[in-house]
Amino acid sequence: MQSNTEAFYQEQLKRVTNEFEDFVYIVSHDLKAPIRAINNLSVWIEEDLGDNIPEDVKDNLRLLRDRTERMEKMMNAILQLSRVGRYDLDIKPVDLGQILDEIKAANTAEHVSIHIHQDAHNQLFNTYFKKFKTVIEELVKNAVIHNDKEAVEITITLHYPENNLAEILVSDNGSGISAQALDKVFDIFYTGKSKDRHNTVGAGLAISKKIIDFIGGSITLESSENSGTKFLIKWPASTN
Amino acid sequence: MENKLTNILLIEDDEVDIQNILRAFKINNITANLHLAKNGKEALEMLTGKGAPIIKPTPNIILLDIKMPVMDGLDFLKVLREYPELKSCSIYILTSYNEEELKARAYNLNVAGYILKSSDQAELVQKIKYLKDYWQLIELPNSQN
Repeated sequence: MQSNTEAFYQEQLKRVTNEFEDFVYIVSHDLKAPIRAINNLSVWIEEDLGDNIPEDVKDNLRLLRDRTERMEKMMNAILQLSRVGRYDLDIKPVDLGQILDEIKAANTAEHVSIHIHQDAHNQLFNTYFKKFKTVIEELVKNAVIHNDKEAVEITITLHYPENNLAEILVSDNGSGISAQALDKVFDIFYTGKSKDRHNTVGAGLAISKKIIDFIGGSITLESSENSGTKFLIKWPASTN
Repeated sequence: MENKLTNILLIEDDEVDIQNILRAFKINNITANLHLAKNGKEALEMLTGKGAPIIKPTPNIILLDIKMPVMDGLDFLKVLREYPELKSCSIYILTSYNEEELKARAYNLNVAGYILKSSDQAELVQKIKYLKDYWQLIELPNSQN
């Protein structure tokens, strides 16, 4: 009897998983095709009109393309969010400090400085290293976007108190987050800044939060307007 | 190339994709006549002359979409392979479906290539350019019929 119930739920699980895979495929393939088509059509209209296009028509064509691009990015973000528990699942012993150094080395923006402090040298963490990298990259991206200073300063501190939780503090000298917005920053597609001026759809923090929930860690933030933002992550040092 | 490659047949149902491919042909200065069929059934009629005016000489090159109404690309291929006089047509799949199963089925039906149809125009122009260069490189049989 018990094995019958188990078989029933196994079957249910299989069905739901297949439905999910179909849904993801539809979003990633079938829905993107018409968006790309709209984008192409706007390019062709502009090409076919030649040199004498009024400025306001040009502006509207640009906005049309911009919005199709945004929609595609939003779809990609939903896909990434929905796949958190299914992708980048490789686990190996890694030095988190080394991943931070790689992120710092990959930064090519001259107005952005990343400072790293750590007391976990050569400490190996058996963890989802790709997910760790994604989270820190998203926090760095967020710190750069929400910054009104000429020189962007980001400090990442890695501390390991040896209680099986690594603590990573990411702080910036940016414009900060108002008290009303604090509980919204992890919502998908929430942005504190205009989506027009910044090339963002507001998904990075939502994806980061979902990753951290998935691995069983925590993320909290401290911020007020004009005083920069501090994110504190507690990341399980070992995943079995 | 010009004397051998007079006719190309494009089998594609999506109007925007058709326009994208036509524009890529134009940008690459491909001068062969491009004939258009909206599905596999229409294409068969044009190749055999049964139900539609026949294309002469028979196109050496056929660009074939997979997902189409009435008769899809792979069903078209299966039927096409039954006509001895159409055996020498080189078929290139041009699809946006990057799926192993479809690729395997297409190559089992002896396609000359499986090409992913980019919706990005610049990418498609580049792919069509590679095809043009390849068609200039290879010798194609002269259609006798």
